[in-house]
Amino acid sequence: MSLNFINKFYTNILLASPFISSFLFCIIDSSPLYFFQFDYFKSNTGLLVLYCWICCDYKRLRPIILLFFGILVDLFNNIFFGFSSLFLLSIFLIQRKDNENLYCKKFVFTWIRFGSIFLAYSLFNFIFHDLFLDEIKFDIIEFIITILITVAVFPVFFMLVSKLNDKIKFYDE
Amino acid sequence: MAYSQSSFSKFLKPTFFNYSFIEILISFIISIALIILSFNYKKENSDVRILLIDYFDPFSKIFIYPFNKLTEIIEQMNYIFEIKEQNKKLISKLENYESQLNELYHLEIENHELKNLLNLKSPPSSYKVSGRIINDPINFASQNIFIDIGLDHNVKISNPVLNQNGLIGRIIKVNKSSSEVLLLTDPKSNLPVFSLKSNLKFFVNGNLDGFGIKHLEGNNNLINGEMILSTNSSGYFQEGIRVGKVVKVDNKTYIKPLARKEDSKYIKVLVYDFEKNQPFPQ
Repeated sequence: MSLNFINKFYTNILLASPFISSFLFCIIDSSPLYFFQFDYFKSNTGLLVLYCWICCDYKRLRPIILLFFGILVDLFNNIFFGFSSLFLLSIFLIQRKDNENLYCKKFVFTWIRFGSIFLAYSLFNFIFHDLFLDEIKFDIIEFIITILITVAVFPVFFMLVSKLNDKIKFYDE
Repeated sequence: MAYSQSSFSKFLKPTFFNYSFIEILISFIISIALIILSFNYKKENSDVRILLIDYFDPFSKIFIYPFNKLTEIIEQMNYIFEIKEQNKKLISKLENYESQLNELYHLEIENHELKNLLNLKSPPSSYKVSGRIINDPINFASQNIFIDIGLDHNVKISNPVLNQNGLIGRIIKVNKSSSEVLLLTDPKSNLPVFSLKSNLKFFVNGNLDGFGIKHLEGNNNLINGEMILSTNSSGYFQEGIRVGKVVKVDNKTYIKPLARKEDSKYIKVLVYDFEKNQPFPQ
């Protein structure tokens, strides 16, 4: 009886893992992490996990859910709401068009693609804010550290999401 | 008849169109609308942000707790390493100071030995004890007074007694809490002095009118109004205590005492800290 309950609970958690993990890592974004006490960087874990889910299987998260999580990412990371939602929805559409657009069998290419897309996102974000907000000043060092660390930790998040996705797939089959 | 479908027509398939297309479209529209609204209504955007952050605050606290703890642990570890470094530096400094202190001790001993060799004496260190005249017997035979300080205050025989104007006498007898003072104006008192300007050394002898001059050839060499100070040649007093003033009237020279017992009922006794520091042994 209790084993059955645990199994059911585990299954529910597993099926809800895209939402749970995305929400958890978006919330973790709310705290800046200090880097050797000199500077701090935004962890971007929320964005990373959402990207990984879209990359592994775009069907796991619906566009409206992506909109919600995008707003959550913007709440802690950006000044304008909707910017990250637009980015995630665009990624979603790219992946929806062809599953090979973001995901390659050779992980290095997946990583490189993520690096390029994230760099483009960061630069666009930088330019967008710089154009429309005069009073905002970006810290270039923080900007570079954030990009480097986000790209560096991508394999860890991708592995985690990939494992979860495989388990969900296995369950579905 | 089969016909090829474009990707757009695939996208607009009736099965997809109704739900997925509308969902994507609505999501895009909302995103763009949010960007425009946040740009145009900055104040409201800020208010909504604060409201949402407040709403998510409990979740944040729960999820971030382990990360904060981890950060704290890392900071504590850094702090411990810093303290270790600082401790090393301080220990080396302390060792350095200890060796310097040892050197100073050696120098102090050497200094003391050299002083003994040269028979040099340190200047007397002293402190003042305040007291009160408790008994003033107006007696022609004895002008001695009694004060309320004695052995309890480390007062010793021959300690000088002063009031606010200058020297009035010296201790000749000490009890537990009282002492007897021989006034300078007492005929039994002889005090070695010197004149400040003419630099003459002589003795002043007490009399009922003031001081008489003893052992000075040619009283006329004294300058009218010049100050007379004590010397340490008798071994009773410190050098330089004000005693009196030279007064010349009709070619007659005498010394007028600066301090008299009538000036005040309060006095001060100059007590030497250590017996060895007294100018001369009693």
